[in-house]
Amino acid sequence: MHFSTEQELVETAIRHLPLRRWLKAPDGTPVFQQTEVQGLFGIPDLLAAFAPATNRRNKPQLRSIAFEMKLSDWRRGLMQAFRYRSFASTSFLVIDDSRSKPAVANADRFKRANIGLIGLNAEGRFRVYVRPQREAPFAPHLENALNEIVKSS
Amino acid sequence: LSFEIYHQAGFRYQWNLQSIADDSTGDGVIIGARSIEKEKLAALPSEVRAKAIFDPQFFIPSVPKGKLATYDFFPDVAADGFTSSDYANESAGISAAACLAFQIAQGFRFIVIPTRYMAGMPSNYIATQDELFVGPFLEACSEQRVETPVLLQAVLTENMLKDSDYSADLLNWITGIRGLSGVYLLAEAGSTTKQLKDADFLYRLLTFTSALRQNDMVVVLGYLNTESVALSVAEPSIVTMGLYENTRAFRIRTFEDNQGEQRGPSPRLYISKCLQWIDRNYHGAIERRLPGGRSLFDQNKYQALMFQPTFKWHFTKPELYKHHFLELSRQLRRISDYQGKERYDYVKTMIEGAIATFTQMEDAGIVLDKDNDGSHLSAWLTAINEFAQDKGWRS
Repeated sequence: MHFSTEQELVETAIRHLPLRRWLKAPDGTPVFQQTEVQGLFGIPDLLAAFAPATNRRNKPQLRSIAFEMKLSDWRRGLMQAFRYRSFASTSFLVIDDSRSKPAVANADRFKRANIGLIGLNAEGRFRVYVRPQREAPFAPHLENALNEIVKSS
Repeated sequence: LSFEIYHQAGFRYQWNLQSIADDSTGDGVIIGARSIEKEKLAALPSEVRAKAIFDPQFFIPSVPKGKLATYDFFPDVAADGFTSSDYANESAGISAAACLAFQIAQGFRFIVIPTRYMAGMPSNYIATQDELFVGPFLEACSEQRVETPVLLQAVLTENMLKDSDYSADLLNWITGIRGLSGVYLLAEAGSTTKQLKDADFLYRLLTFTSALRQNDMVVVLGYLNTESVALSVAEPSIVTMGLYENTRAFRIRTFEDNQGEQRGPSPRLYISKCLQWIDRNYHGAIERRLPGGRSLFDQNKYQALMFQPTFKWHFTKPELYKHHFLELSRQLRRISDYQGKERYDYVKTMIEGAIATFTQMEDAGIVLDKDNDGSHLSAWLTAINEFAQDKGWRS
């Protein structure tokens, strides 16, 4: 079974991806989660973030994961997911696992770009082909903009 | 043959004039009537006007967009409502005489015969231009004993350029017009990408430009973006550079009455080694991922300002464009020191260098989108190589 629309992919990802665990957010703490977030660089299909109370220097340090969802066009997906690294500390392309072969064959490009690659099927089972390292976002002004979005949510 | 650099001025034309005065980034300016009232244009310093070319922008004669309504010779104003047949019969001569008198009075470097935009490859293109503008202007030139060199403005669509017979007819027509010194040529590409990526279009434009030059005509290439680097290989007389995107690519829709809602672009910085403008949001990735990435950004007084932490990046900031003018004009001046095959070799090396820089970025894990990557460069290389082959510069 494969996905018919990207919307189905997004809905399945929201239901099945362990966002809280990946954000290392303790149970019971609020996690920001929003689709189609505007006002940054590109429009991520899904954005999840968690702001720990403080870090050692008393500065809030947002943990954020941006997702681009694609049925099959991994090149465009990689390019869009890379944009999200300007404001998010981690970024993934989620692709319909039944059509993920070409993307997986190019896993090196994802690794080099430090962009994650996930294959997701219609039953909600997923496989992480490339797991990225968390890294400070590339554009501090957009990181601040995301902080504001999360704060005001 | 060395060439000159002109600024294609539109909205915020003062920044173009400042850049020329402060940084010597150009030899003159092409002033679009849409962006400056007639009275204000006449009030510009005479030394600016003496090196200027006036662009009457009659492209859509029925639409006096922006400041075009302040020019009494603009067709819709002169005819009190433009229709082709009435204009040809009643107003074309009056408009031509007034437009010519205005250009002479301002002391512009060239007289420009305006043009009407015609889409596709219309069979009546030459007849229409002759009837509405060329004939009436040449008659007025003769009556007013014009000594200033005269340029014919021509907008060529992609279809016109790519059809060999059609473009040959245009060449025959242009080179056969008596009393003409040259052409102010605008080429409209079919695609709307930020950079020109159509190798065939570029090759045809190189060939067309070169053919005009071989006929001893002045060729002014208007509305150019960075592809001026590639087009310089055809040895044009003047290449242009512009500020906002609507002066760096000719698109007729920007002269239409209702363009719909416009969204401001992201601020982008010109990087000379890349022959590309790159979105500010990628700069951090370049600095962090590319070894020596910071040095990719051209160092100048505008760069120093923009890289201050307090600088508020926005596409309306003059520094972005003054930086571009400074860096691109430096590149163009260097190119203009070469001629013929040596110029081709030099430009080829520049383009290959830019391709290598983008490859380094890709290897460093930087994934740029199609508006910011180097995908235009292979098309440029193909076009100039093909042109060089025709010229016997390359086996």
